[in-house]
Amino acid sequence: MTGFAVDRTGPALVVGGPAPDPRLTGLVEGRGALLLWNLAAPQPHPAAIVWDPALATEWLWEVYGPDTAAAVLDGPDTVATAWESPVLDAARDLALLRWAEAWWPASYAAAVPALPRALLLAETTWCTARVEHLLEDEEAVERALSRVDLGALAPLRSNPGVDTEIADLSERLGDLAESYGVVLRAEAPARREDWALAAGGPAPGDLTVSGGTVAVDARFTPRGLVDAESDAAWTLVQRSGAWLLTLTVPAAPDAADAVLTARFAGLDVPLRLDANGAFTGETEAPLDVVTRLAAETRVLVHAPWFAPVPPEPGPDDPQWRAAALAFARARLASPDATLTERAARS
Amino acid sequence: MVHGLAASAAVPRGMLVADAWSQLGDAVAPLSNASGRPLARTVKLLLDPLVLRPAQNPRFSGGVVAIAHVDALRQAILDAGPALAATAAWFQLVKRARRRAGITEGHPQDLYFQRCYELAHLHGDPGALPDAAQIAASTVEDVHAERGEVSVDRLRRFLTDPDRTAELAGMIHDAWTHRPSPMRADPDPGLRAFLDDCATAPDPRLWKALADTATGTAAAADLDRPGVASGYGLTARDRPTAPELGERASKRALPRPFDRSIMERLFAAFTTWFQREAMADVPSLVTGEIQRSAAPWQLGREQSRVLMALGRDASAGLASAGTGSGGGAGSFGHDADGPGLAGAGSDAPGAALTGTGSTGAGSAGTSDAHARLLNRWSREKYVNFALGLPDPEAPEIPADLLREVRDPQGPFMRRLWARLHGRELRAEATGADEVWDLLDGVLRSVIMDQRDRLRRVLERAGGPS
Repeated sequence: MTGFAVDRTGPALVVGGPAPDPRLTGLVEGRGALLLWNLAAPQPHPAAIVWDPALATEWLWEVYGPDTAAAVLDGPDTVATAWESPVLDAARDLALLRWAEAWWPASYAAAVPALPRALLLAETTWCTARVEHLLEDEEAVERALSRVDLGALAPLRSNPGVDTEIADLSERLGDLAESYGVVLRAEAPARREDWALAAGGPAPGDLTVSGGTVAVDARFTPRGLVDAESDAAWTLVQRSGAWLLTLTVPAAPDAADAVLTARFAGLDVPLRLDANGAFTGETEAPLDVVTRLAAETRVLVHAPWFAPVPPEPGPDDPQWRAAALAFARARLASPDATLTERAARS
Repeated sequence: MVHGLAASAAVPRGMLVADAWSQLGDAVAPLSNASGRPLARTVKLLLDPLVLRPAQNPRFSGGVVAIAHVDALRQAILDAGPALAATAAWFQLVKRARRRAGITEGHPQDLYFQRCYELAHLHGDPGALPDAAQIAASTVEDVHAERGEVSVDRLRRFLTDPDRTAELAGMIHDAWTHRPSPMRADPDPGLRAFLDDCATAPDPRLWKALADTATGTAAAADLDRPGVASGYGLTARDRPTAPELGERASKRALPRPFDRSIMERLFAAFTTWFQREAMADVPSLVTGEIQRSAAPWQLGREQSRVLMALGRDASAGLASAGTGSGGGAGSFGHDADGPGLAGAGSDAPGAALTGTGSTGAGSAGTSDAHARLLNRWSREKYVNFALGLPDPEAPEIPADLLREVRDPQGPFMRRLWARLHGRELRAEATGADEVWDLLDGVLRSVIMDQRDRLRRVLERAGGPS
């Protein structure tokens, strides 16, 4: 049984209190209402912000059951439901998969495997199709199908335990694409060697002056690139008479290359993924940097195409990361894990 | 599924439809989604216009249906069962014919659903028909005969025919030199009144009166003044000028509406698939477009112009909220110093989600329609962040994208214009009760487009792949 408070005082009807931290929220955008699953305190039924009750009334019963949906729209200030339905399951899976695409905390250090992205996009599409009748975006299925790549899905089919399900999903998506007039991509998957660069870090012949490790603050990069749970290593070396600061930031499992910048000890260091699976880079360092290095406790990694970095960024909030890790681990162990999650753990 | 019936005096329409639909069984599966519900387009293109017809049957309209009409609604769907089953069977055949013909353009549901319903009424179930596959093939052929490059080619040939270009250019010149001088008028209070009620209780008489008194034309009076039309995002020029005839067009790089050539204006409409059969032939389309280009708002019908005025008023001032309000809002969430993420403080994302504008008629400053658009726009900041999309304020976000995220009025007005233009070409009128859906749908479409562009930034920049 999930219980909710209903607040009818504002312009929108709020079911289940203030919206949770967006970094820990699974979303489904329904017609006239936003469904929100707070992943810090997982429940089978979502909270909701109903901004157009007339539209939402058509389908809200699919999520809460007819009685509770009626009570949400026009009833007491608390409601409860134990409604179960395949549509509710599909909506929740969709919310979780979309969250995972954005926030899944893949990390070697925390032993959270990466989710197979091609499968995640494929399963997201199927969940979208299962709830397309209540979604606000009239082209949600087409949009999702346009991101599916059957070619990238193919190698996953050698994964025993999920192989037949993936084959079945591919076939269903083929039919779906035909009904929506979308031509599915089927590109040959890129191999890691195709883009890996040479190993970074100190080079042979460098004279290491000092070095250390610091925590990684990856708030300003998209998830899935750097391993936010690992420590980064820095070294100050002398090469050909110049002082160089090198940085090695461990990449997340299955990370792709990207142009990142690390801010450390007042310096901006450009980072690229190297052959050893770390984002590495170096920059010339002024002499006075030596005095600052020892005091540094974190390296701030950011992607200039992803987020602006304030001049004086406050400390990262470790709570949401811990909650995300706990949730991801629980999902991997859950009996109702999605196909994507099961493929990741096997 | 319907055990909740006795509990309330009205039942969600979607629940009744789902219940009746499930009784039709596997025969309608091709018209159903993976949860066994009728597809959104099945409701939009078949059930609503052809079976339930809420315009004729008000008892079947709205989100809920009164208990007294529940059986009638269910019966209407069950009665249509054989026709819907036959429609579904035809749809399968038509899709097969489409595949065989190698056609990939257009949306099969949009293109064929109503055709299949016609086939079902003409021929019944295709299973009993020896030449069903042939009928399906000729249906596909017929639907696609007048589409695609054929029409665009004809348009291009017509516009570039050396025997004709001088005459057509002269027509543009005449139409633009004889434009009526703008009649400036005080803002019509009817616009505001209509915006206050259009989402909840649109008044058809007021809607008609706004068009009858040329309110939209009056609202266009200032468009020729420097900076006005460009301020609405409709032109990149300081003031609108007569269009070129044009020789080529590309969907990717269409200029702003008032800067589009005649070719580009028609091309944009030609490449949308739906209901092209409702459009006129090429010569009258071209002459009509030339006249239209010289008209107020560069639209031909007063109703469209009223809608441009309504859209302008409803979309003004969205910049003050939402994703791109700048400053601290830009770094929303990423920085723990930013707005509280627990949803506690008044600056919390939850506040933007639950509505900042004052919905409900009677508020002094802005209209109800504006408040609703503003609420949609404000929600987007939270949704964007939850979806892990790039923050538009990030330093390497393309400047034009950032500008549009900061103030969506330009893209809003452009998209509204394009939709109205398309409606004019297809001779579609807009009813009072469709106005809000149109305005809201335009903003939704602007938002979805911005999301797609932000996602492309993320994927291009080497996010996980």
